[in-house]
Amino acid sequence: MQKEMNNNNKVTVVVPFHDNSEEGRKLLDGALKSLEEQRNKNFQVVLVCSSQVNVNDVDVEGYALDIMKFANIWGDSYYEQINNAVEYTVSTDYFTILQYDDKFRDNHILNTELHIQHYPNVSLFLSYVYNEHPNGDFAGLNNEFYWSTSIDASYMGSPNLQIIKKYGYKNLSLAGAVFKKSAFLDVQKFKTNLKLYSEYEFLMRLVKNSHTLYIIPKITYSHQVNREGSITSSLHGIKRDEVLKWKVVAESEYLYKTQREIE
Amino acid sequence: MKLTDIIKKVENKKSKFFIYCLNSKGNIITSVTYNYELVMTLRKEGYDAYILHEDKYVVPEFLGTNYTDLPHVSMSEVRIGGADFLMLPEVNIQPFYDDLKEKNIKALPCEVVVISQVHDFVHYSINLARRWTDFGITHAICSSEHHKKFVDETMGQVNTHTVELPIPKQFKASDKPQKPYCLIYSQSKKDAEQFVKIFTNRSPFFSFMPFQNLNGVNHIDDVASMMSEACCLVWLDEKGTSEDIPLKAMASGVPVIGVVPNIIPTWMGENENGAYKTKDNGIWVMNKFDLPIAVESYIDAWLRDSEELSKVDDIMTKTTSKYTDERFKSQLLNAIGVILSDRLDTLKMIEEKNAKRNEQ
Repeated sequence: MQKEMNNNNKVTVVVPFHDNSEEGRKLLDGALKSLEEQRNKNFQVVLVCSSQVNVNDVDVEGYALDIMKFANIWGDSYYEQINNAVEYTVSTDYFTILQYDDKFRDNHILNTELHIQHYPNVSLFLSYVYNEHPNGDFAGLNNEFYWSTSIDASYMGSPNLQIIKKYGYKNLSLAGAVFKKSAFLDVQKFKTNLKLYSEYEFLMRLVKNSHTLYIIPKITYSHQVNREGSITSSLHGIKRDEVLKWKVVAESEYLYKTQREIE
Repeated sequence: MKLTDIIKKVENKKSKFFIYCLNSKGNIITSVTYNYELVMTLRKEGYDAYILHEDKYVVPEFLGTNYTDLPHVSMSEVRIGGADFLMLPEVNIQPFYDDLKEKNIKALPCEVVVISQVHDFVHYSINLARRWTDFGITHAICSSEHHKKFVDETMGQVNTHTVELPIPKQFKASDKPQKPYCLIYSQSKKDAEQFVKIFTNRSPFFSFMPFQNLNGVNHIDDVASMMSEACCLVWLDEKGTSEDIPLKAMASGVPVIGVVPNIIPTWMGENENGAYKTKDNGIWVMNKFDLPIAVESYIDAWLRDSEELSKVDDIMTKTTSKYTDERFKSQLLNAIGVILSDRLDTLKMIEEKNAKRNEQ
């Protein structure tokens, strides 16, 4: 730990980082600059470096941010980085995740704080995700669907298990999600042995364990899609049968809090 | 009743005020709210005021419980004397006098005062080349400054008084985050449906945004509740007969995107050297076909929390803060004071004339 964390801050931004190439550092710079531009400055940052990255090689001194660097020596997967960072470094009640190749819109922390204040019983806030291609072209929104009229009005903004099961595997995105730390630990974090549908499984498990989900109806997160070298790009080309298999696995594993061995 | 007794009654503020109210048949009609508010305020101030209505009449549910205890009297039951005042909406003036003529009633013993709220009805409801003064009417209560100006300029010789409806207390800005739905209010449901179709086809990216039609919402508390969380109000009322709706939305902290009505309300715009300039307390378009574009831009800005929008909040508060109960009461009591005093002068003049005639 390089600095003493300020525990009065309500939100920690967890930034998992695994690519210290010139391209990776450029993307990280964009992500950190988006944090500097937040209208509400009431947050702190944990930069989680995977074991592929030497934490001392990552220079974050030039940013006007409260950043703690954390070397995750236990594993390299994206979800392991988050699980360990939350367990060992997050001292605030809530945390949010910023992928190093994405950006927060300048209203992300503003909305986080506003909604935490008004909905203290909610364990996970999602927001509208603005998807864009690497060239900046708009590629559609995520999560806005859950506020539309096609869904039973009583669940508008707060989908239940039935709705997540019906639509969540293709429409819900955890990009920029804000987690209540106690709920995240209660359901025992992300499962790291699911190749696909980890977030879908997590959402079902969270709601099944009586935690509430709420979708902040604002665009607060810009997510880059179809980037060469991204984590998801490595999953391209997976056969349909395998995709369906992982969906079935997710739909059975959410019933268990603990991570079980998958055949 | 003797004239001296009538004069005494008026002097002692014992006159009765009968305010005629149309049957709203359950629909939210601003003019109905206005009339009930007049009766309620007059009664609170010690005047003997009544809602006068047709025989088949139902107290409008949308008004809420505040008004249910007000005394109602039907046309077949009412007894009006020389000390009393009959207050008629402008739309009823000609039909009312035509009806009297049919019944062979040459003159009413009481003073008739016009309650005027809708520009379109001022001339529409009376015959060509007729004015309110032709019916012996000398006072009109107008629901807004701009309406008063219109009546002054086109009806002539009537004493006009502005009494502007307060914004009910239920309509106040909430500190809760707004939700992604737009309210829409139009004169007919068809107009609202047409707008939503045009908007959805024009802006498919925002087709997830639900629209909730305020037409058909029957209770003021429900309207207030819907306004407390909506992200905007689309106001499509070119005749401007529902100008209380955008004011209520503004008071609730809900920005209004609307078409400028045929006659611009004073809270919406000002005449600068002969040209009207709209204020920045909402997003106003001149043509209803520009409305979908304006709504699309607004939703885009709302989803991004554009800082431009917070500027509108301050101006909305400035616009609506003057529409208070106290102001309504003071304007009404001033108007009633002048109307009573004029009536008294007229009665005394008649008394003097009668006395002179008797002397001769």
